[in-house]
Amino acid sequence: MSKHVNQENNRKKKRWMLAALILLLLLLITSCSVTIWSLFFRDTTPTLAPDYAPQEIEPNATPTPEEDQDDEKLEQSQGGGSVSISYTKEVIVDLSDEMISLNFTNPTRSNQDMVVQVFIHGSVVAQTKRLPPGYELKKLELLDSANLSAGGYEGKFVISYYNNDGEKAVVKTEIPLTVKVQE
Amino acid sequence: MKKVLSIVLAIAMIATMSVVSFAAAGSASKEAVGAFDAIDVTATYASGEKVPSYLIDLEWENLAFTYTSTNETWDTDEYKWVASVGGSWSAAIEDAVTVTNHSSVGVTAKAAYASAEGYEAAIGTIDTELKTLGIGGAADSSVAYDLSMSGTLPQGTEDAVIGTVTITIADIVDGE
Repeated sequence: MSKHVNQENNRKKKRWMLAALILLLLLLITSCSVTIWSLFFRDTTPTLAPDYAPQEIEPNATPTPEEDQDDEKLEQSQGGGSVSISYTKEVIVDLSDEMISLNFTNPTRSNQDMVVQVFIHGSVVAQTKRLPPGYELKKLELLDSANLSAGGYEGKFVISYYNNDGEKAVVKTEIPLTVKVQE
Repeated sequence: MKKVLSIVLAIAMIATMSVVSFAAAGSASKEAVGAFDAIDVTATYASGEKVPSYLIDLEWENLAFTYTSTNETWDTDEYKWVASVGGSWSAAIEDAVTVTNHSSVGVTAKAAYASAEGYEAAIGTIDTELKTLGIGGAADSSVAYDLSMSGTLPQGTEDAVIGTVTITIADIVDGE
């Protein structure tokens, strides 16, 4: 009798252990899947410009030539803003070094910092850090998530503005671009 | 006699040397050895390709509005003030946004207002017609937009960003 009870108990234990093993296995598979997804498949593309200006100045930006540095500031009303933007409408993407060649300047006479995004077909393919007045941009890194092949595209600059306190302005600018992508 | 004749001949030869000095300037013919007409060298300045250069100024006023509800009533169930239907906005802002073109070519400007999430009932109105701005320095190289608000604002809203004005700058397309 006791032998039969022992066997029954053993069987129950085995069933519990099997169930626990299956549960742990499922947990392991789930955690591996989440890890793989977050490492390789998660879309980290920024689509919105930040609400506050990035602290860091865009590392690819350089000061404008000295003759532009003495320009008088634009007038700006209290609580308002004023900017000047200088650019060319053609940008070239080099897929081999994942860089964009462009011409964009936040002239010295501006009163706001800028964040410049390059959009192609509704997706951000490049985004600057803070571009203060008196800085120009000739190259910019392509985002890892940019999925482009060689050819011509219609794109746009989206420019957001930030005051001295880093607060984002309620005005922004969009500029259509011609984007040439080469290998 | 021979000596006299020799002397006379020598003097005569010396005298003929001066004849050359009476030769007119520039009278040498092309056939003369070592003489050429001046050859004109000409040149023409041809402009290289002009790549349009864009410089745009954008200025905006303090785009802050106040919404005043008609009246509020005390809700005895919730113990709070509840806004009644209806209210009014502060006055439209004239020249709220000004765009000035300093570029080497004319451009177009198009304004649009978009409500922020949660404030869709507050409606911003701005002239959305496509404007053509002349080349930098031209009389028509600037445009100013007025901005007004209508609709309603959620109770308790304070210094919130309720919308964004977007200005799109583009090339002038044939026919615009």
